[in-house]
Amino acid sequence: MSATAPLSVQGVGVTIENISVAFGETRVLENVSLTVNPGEFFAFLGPSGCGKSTLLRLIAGFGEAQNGRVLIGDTEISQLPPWKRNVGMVFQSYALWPHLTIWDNVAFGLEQRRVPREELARRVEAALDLVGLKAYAKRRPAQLSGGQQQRVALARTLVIEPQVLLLDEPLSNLDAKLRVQMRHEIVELQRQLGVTAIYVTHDQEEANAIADRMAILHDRVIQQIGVPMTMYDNPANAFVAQFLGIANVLEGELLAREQLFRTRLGVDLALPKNLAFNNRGRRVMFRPQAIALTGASGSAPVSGAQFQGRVRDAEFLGNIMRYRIAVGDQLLLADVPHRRGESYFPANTAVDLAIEPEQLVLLPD
Amino acid sequence: MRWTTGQIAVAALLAAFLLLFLVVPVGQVILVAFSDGAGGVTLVHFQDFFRTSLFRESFYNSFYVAGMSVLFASALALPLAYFTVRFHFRGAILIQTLGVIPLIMPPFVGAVAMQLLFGRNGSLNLLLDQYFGFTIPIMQGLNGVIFVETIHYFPFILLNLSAALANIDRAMEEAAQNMGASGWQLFRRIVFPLALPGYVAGAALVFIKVFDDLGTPLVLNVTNMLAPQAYLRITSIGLTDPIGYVISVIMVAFSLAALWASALALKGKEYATVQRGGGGLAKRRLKPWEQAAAMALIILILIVVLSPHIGVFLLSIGTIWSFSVLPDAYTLKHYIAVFEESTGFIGNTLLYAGLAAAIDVVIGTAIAYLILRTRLVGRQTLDYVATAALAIPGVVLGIGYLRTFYGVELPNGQPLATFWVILVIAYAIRRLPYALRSCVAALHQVHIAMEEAAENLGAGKATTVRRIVVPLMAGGMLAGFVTSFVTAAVELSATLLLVAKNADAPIAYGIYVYMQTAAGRGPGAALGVIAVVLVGAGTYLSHRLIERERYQSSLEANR
Repeated sequence: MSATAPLSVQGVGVTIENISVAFGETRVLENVSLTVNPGEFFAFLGPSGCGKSTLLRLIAGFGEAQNGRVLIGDTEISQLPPWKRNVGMVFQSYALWPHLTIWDNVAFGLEQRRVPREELARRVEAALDLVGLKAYAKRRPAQLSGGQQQRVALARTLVIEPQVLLLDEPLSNLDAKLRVQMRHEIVELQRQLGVTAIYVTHDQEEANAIADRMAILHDRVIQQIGVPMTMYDNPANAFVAQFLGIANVLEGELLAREQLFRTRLGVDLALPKNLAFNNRGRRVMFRPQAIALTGASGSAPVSGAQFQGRVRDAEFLGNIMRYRIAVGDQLLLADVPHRRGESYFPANTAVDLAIEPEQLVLLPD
Repeated sequence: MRWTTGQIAVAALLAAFLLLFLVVPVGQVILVAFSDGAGGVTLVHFQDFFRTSLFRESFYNSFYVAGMSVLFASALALPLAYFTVRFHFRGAILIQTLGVIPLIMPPFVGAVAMQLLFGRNGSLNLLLDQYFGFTIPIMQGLNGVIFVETIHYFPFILLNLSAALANIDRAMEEAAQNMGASGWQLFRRIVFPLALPGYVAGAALVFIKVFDDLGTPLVLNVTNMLAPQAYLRITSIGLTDPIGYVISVIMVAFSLAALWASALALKGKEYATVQRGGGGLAKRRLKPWEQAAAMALIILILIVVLSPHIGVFLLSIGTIWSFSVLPDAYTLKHYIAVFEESTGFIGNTLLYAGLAAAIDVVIGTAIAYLILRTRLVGRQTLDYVATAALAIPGVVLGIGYLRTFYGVELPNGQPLATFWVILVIAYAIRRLPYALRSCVAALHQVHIAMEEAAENLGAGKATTVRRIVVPLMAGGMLAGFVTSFVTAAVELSATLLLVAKNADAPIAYGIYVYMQTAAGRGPGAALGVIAVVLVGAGTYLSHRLIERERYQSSLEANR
């Protein structure tokens, strides 16, 4: 890939205001609003059927919203047909036209814009160069590998110098290794060009890795918007907590004055010092890697530990050992990094579990 | 943004075309059948119909012939389909290719040759009589019609059933075997029910085709059936005779009923069973003796199935063929005669069938686009009306056109009904259902993202259709064109009614006229061979195109 950007793209913001979408009786999105900053890499994340693709397609002009509007920069585009929007979209299936060569695929958008011949040739070449496929211009899509087709789809979209780049699960048709490589390439391209990008995925790892910020959609609404790590550490609700990773959730009651959470098992957990107690949470959440595990020494937990449990089973996942531990009538998951030669707790071992206050997150009701 | 003015204009044009050339003419026929002549509605013509013994007999005969043809065609197609899909053996490909050959020759062409081979004084019976002292009345009366129709139309069942069997996921079969089912149980309870939609579709088609066929009974001199009666009433008594219309209404009603029954039988039965990595029943290898037995059976069937072609070919190169096993001597003079006298037939056929097929593809593509890509109100109606043409026998459409357009005169004083363009339109309407399905299937293959990508890059609806949709549908459109072309090229029933003078007539008409006289049989058969070569080449072409299309789309599916 070349060092300087041969295509000039102006990153502009995208604003979505009170969008509601229904397909017949089925309501898909309800009053969704969000703002994507200029030049930002933004992700729509959610389980399948949450409406994330619907929302993305709406920005491109496909499908109809019952109400609400979409703005690019300060211009409302809700009423424009797709072909007048100048937002580039990369389709999940790539949608490369099999009857056209790679060159003709990439040139299509410029032809529609009646770009003069010399400039068209220069820009198509630049776009193909950008994705490293200059040598493949004369081939047809079927003669390219999945990763190459993905690059063509990117080049075809970027060559029109779109105001916004939309990507609809662009990596889902690639194998695991290629997926990681392509996502690096996409991020690199986006940074290089400074184009505002919106990326739809159901894979939280992918979203975490590439997005500056992301919106998690579920049940027709946005559950939370934010920076990936912040959201992982401070999920707004149980859904977000569980969608972004494994969450151990304990029920109980909040004793605000004592800054304690009393679990159903009768164990009091100290809460972080700076916690705001404006909501009366009845559930507390922590990640599997927040648990410190030690072999049980006797009838009482070792000092600092809150729970006594018994290993139900241990799953070896390579980099970590994942224990399922019975604590009272509940199962907790604990991840312990694995290092070469280290032993582990076999099933039925009695263990003590310790969780630091800073690792606890109070979930709203 | 639900639809554009362009889409509305296209839909309106299509609706006008279908209304003028399908709905109004057929409506006229129905109207006349129920009209008392003074503006009132009456059933008296129907009473007349059922009071006359000839018509009752014709009614019964048409049913009997169509029903028996379905029965025999099933008996022929079922084992062929099952064995070829189910077992690995050399004959399988032979059957799948040669089995469709009867389709490329209209039954009336082979009918005369069949009489020479299997008739009372035909080759087979002469041999049987000489060596064994008995004869078989295969070609007598209705038997002959049933025999000829069965041989010509059983491929509809064979093709549909084979496709259905090939679509059964082998895991379905294996699951049943795993539960303990095998042999006949497996076939009866799992395989056949899963293939039923294919069988029913094929059987309904055979029924309709036989019920509608006019040429075969006429050529075999069987007139006590519905289609010949309708034709004879209109051509001998005249356009005012209500019985022709009554028969038309009855034929339409039963064709519709057959279509409706097949749709009903399939309703709610979604049998697309090929799952990922599946495909086709498990194939078994045959033991050598089984292989030999299967081959023998298949060769026997193929000889019977190909006999009309062999017969027509012999007839076309024979001098005199009468009361003998084979022609007395061989000659090319019939071909020479045909090329000297009758090249007009060939030229007309190419022109008419070509135009009709072009109309079909354009209309088919437009309707397919409206159905699959717009939410235009009434788009389904266009589909239904166009498809309903399947249930309109050629005789009925012909009568409808005569009735509707006879009064309309061209500037030169010729009635519109006998203008050759009307023949082209009749062909187009008759073949539209096939071309339409072909176009719909082709558009189904075009992923909608292909179009969205074009729109996303700045192309409007019209540009997208022109630059993306049509090129991607091209294979399917071409296949639809060829299907329409080859079937229109040998259409006889509407032709017989609508051709006014020899100069305007196509091949099918020429063959029919030749076949009327003993002396004309040679040239008629030669013309038949030419038609078969024409149609055969077209069928082969469309087959290749469809295969290539399938191959390409499988490439895309694999990426």
